[in-house]
Amino acid sequence: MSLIRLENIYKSFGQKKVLDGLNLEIEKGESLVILGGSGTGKSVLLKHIIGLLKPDKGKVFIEGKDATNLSRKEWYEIRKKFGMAFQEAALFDFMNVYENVAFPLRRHTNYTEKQIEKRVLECLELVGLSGNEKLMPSELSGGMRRRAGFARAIALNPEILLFDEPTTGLDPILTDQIDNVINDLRNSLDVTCVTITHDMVSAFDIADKIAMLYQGKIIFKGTPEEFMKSELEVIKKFLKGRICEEKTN
Amino acid sequence: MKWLEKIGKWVLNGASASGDYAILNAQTFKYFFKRPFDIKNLFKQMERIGVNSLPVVLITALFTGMVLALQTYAGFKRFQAESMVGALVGIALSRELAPVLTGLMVAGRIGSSIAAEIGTMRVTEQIDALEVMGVDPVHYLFVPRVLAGTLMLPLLVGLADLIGIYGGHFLVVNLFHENPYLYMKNVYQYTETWDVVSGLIKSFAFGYIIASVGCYKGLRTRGGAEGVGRATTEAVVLASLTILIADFFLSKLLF
Repeated sequence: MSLIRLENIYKSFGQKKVLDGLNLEIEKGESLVILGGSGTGKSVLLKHIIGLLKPDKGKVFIEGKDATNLSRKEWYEIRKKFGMAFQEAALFDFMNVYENVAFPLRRHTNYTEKQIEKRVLECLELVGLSGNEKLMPSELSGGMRRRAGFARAIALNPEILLFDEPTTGLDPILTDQIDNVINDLRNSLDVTCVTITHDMVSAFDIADKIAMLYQGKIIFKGTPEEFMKSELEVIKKFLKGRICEEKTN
Repeated sequence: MKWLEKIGKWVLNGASASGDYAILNAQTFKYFFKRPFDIKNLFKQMERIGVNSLPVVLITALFTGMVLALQTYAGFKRFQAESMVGALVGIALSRELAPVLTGLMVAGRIGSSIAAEIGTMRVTEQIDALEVMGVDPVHYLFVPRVLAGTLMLPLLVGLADLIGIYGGHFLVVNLFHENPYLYMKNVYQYTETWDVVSGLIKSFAFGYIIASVGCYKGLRTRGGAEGVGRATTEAVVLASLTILIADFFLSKLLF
């Protein structure tokens, strides 16, 4: 049984079709990278996985249970299994790094202040941000902000980690650092990772499996080696570094 | 027929927004009584809405009291009723001017700031982050702000009543050299407890309107910095208009 299964998902915003009969299965323990050009609906896909968007048609299964029409309250429970790192980290800008990482712990656990401190410092160490607890998000560099976002995402020991374009806008050295952090997290926490990106280098660094999103559908899913050997024209173009433009509807 | 279509669309949008606002308000009420109670955040919002608004509100009240005394003194003098200035300032301020003007000033200051804050959180995915962490933004963001707004506005209005009356007193005594005792005596004699209480009741409603409209407009922000700017303006305009309309109906109901 797949951990997450998206079945025949359709989603449009006004006249624009974003997801057009998309099917995808994510297995427990795998690190799946979803590739696609800008504006192809990768973030929309991720938001369907975590219930922030409802499909116009189709079903979302989490651990075999149909989660498509669950209430907000039921989704809040399911989301405790997830940790999500946002593209620009989405740290609360009125809290310092420590408080940001402590936030989910304060809301969802009965930890004492000492236990919270221990867990926050643990998480910050895992992402290489020890000693930066007191800094405000505005004082962090792009790479640090994302790592702080990762620390907040792992605070509650999630089973599934979602990364939304974790390396977009970073220089190659920072990109490499972030990829290493993602791999370290995966190895030390034994979680299922789903990453969306259009960064090929990152994809090959962190993926067990790669899926390709094109024109609202997953047109390929396989290992990085299979991806390299694929005969699909879109993938060949993507591998050559050409931007994969979505056909306008 | 295009204009008919436009009117129809406008009515539908209005009805849908009103329904959305009503649902968010119902959720806010529900969360008033639900754990966890974020007392620290509530006090922070009370400081922001109440304490930090003091200078603006007090200056507004002081000058309103003074200008009211200045204008009515000139009018009352025509039929030798100068001593009644205190009565008029007391009644007008406590029943109407202090609640409405304080409401409008706080709507400009706080309604906009709440809408901008929550709107920025929306466009930078901080609201999504809350949802992903299993925290309802209505519980975490709306409840402390709406409670703080509802509790702090009557306190501000109470102070505005007092400062406005003393503003009038200062002007009448120092500019027109009237008897200070007579001014205050008329304030006490003609301003009834219900005048003050009804003004305070109205200000509870105004505080609620300011905070809830700011939160609502912030949460429904779309489209980057431009969207935040639009939400901020709409929050102030909508809160101010709602205060003026609610003022009429509440006054009709209370007096």
